[in-house]
Amino acid sequence: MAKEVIMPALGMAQETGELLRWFVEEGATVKAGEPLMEVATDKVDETIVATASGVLAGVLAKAGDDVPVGQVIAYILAEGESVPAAKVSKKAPVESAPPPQEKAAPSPQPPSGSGAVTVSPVAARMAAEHGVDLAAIPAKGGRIQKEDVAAYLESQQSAAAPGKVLASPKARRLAEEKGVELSTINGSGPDGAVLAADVEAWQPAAVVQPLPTTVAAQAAGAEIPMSRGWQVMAQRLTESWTSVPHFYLVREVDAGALQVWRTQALARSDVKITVSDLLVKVTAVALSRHPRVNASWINGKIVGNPSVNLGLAVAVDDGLLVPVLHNAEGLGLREIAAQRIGLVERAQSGKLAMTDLSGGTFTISNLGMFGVDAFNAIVNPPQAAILAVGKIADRVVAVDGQPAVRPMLTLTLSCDHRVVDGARAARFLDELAGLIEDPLRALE
Amino acid sequence: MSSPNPTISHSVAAPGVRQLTFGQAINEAIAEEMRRDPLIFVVGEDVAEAGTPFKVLLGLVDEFGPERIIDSPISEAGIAGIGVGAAMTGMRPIVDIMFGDFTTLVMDQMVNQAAKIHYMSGGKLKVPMVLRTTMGASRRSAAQHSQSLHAWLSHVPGLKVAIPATPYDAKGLMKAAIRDENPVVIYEDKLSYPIKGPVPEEDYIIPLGVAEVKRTGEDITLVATSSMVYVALSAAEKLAEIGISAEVVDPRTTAPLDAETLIASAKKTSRVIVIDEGYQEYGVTGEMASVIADGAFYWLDAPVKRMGAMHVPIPFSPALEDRTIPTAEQVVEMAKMLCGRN
Repeated sequence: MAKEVIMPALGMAQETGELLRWFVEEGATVKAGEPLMEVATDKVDETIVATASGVLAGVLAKAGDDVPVGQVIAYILAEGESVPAAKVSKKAPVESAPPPQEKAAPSPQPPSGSGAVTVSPVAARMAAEHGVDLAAIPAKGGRIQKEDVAAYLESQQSAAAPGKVLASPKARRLAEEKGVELSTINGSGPDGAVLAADVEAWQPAAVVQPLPTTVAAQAAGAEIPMSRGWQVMAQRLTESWTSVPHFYLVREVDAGALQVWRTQALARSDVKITVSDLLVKVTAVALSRHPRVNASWINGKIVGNPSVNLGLAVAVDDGLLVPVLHNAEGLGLREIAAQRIGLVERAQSGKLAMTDLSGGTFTISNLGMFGVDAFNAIVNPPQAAILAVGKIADRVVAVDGQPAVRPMLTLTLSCDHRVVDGARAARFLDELAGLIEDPLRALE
Repeated sequence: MSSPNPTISHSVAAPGVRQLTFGQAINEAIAEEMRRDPLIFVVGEDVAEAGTPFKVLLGLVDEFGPERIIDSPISEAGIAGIGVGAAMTGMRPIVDIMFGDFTTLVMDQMVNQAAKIHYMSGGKLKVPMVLRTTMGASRRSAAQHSQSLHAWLSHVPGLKVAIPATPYDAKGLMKAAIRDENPVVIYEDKLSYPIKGPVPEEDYIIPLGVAEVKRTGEDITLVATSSMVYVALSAAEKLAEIGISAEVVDPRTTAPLDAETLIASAKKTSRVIVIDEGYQEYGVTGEMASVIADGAFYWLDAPVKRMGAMHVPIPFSPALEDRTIPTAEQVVEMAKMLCGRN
């Protein structure tokens, strides 16, 4: 088998050796123990003898080459042997050691391209400590000073901070599993770091964000944390559902006139008026004409309310809020729209005041925008009734004995039977339906 | 150590199981093994009539005679060398180094001879010896007699290191060490000698490299060794009162280390404190914390914390000495912080 000739290690810390000369030419015969080559290290020049007898072949290093210790530089072949082909091709040509100036530690250099700018030693050290390229630092004077580096670092920090989300490894893993963007989660850990519990408590925002197409599987039996708001909602609605004797009146109304009204009102208004705003207006009118439906059940008594304070059910991240439009019977359409916009914004950003939430005498819940045709709402105590509004959809209806396609809207009125009976509620709903189908009746 | 609870509920504890002290359990383990195998002998300073300054070996010289319980001069390097040589020639020596601080004197015998000979002889020689020594502060013994240096020998491949916390573990690990074909070092906490616990009469061993969950919990893992097991258990009691459920895991040996059990517990609780009486810097806690952080990284909800001895020579002054070693109160505070309860 071909005997390898390697660059020997002659010192403990030696990494390379310089080949000074071969004593034997390639193709010549050498005997074991005879001088083969001369090698120089930092300390000594040494003659290396052949470790086998044969023909020197496959020489890869020439005199003057600096070769890593242990690298094969030739072979000694016995009769009939050849240089191992695979090994020859693997060995890269021996390279000379890099010139010494490349090894030297880089010293602070003035920024390239601005030969006039120099750097103070402190600034150079600061820049090196923070891994900042000096060329990127603007110098106030002709020289980069400590203050320049500090200012640059500060600007970099404030620029970088918002993008960086602190989170524990477990929180990161859970967020990835749930498909949640970490930056959307409020962290409760040190420096606002997102912890596992924060990810577990995260709920998709009901209104602002579209629902995820797939629901990450909850671990069986795992508790989903509730916010304080959700707990209040759960408790209040349970109280209502278990103590208020509900009944429901359903009525289909033609929303054609409402849509025409909205188009005209929009054209005249600088505020974006919605169908909900029109419904608030006509409901307020209907309630002022049927004060019993605007009354409350308080401590076993029916209590009348002097004004119409209309609650609007608003979906928020953690449940349901019902901000109130106070004295709605006296408000014009643009005032209703402006107040409604403010209330919904404050509800969704969690900035509602107590006065925004209290004093409601009647509630409108509109799920039309979610494509719901009709639904039964739960009465919001101590109020007497709540109006559930579905979507406006084109339907085939009989008009004057002929089938016609009309934009129809289904209203469902849920009532507390302790305050209103079916007939009273029906008269109110009839008034409301009339106002929707012929809004001019509001002026009567 | 802040007054450890002198009893510990153990998984093998059963009605009728007798109670032995930690010291008695060591004594019994050695005596039973010496009766079984005449090749076993003990050599060390004050091991015979004195039965060691901690009275752990009391009575052994009466049963086995001064030929097998050998009092040596003050010559740690010498007796360790005798142990290594005797083990290489077929004996099963138990070398007694009175204070763990003095293992500095046996380093060459342990690190370069005992740990290497099996490897360097191509498996032809073996060193089935046990080196018994002590660890632990809080005995007012000052800086040269109070250190816990078990990290040093745990660092060296070829040595096994056991650090028992309970009487049950002490007997089982001692027997495993004596029967092991490799050099094994046992560190006994000096304050643990009077601690009582259940020790069954029947013969048993605890395999080297198997951790034990000393208390199960859900919210945080306290990995604790030797004397710190009692600190951790006491902290777990206090944490339970404020609704934090702590799991206490005792590795029982630092080499080999039962990484699997440590990582499994960390994955379960997502928070870990590693508590050890050795110096914190470059110590046992650092190694274990790193193993846990590596294996359980994506399950961790807080950084893995270490608690070890303060980086000072252990003071003689009681008031100062007590501040150098982790206490249950400090563990509770750290655990509350990691659980976001501060």
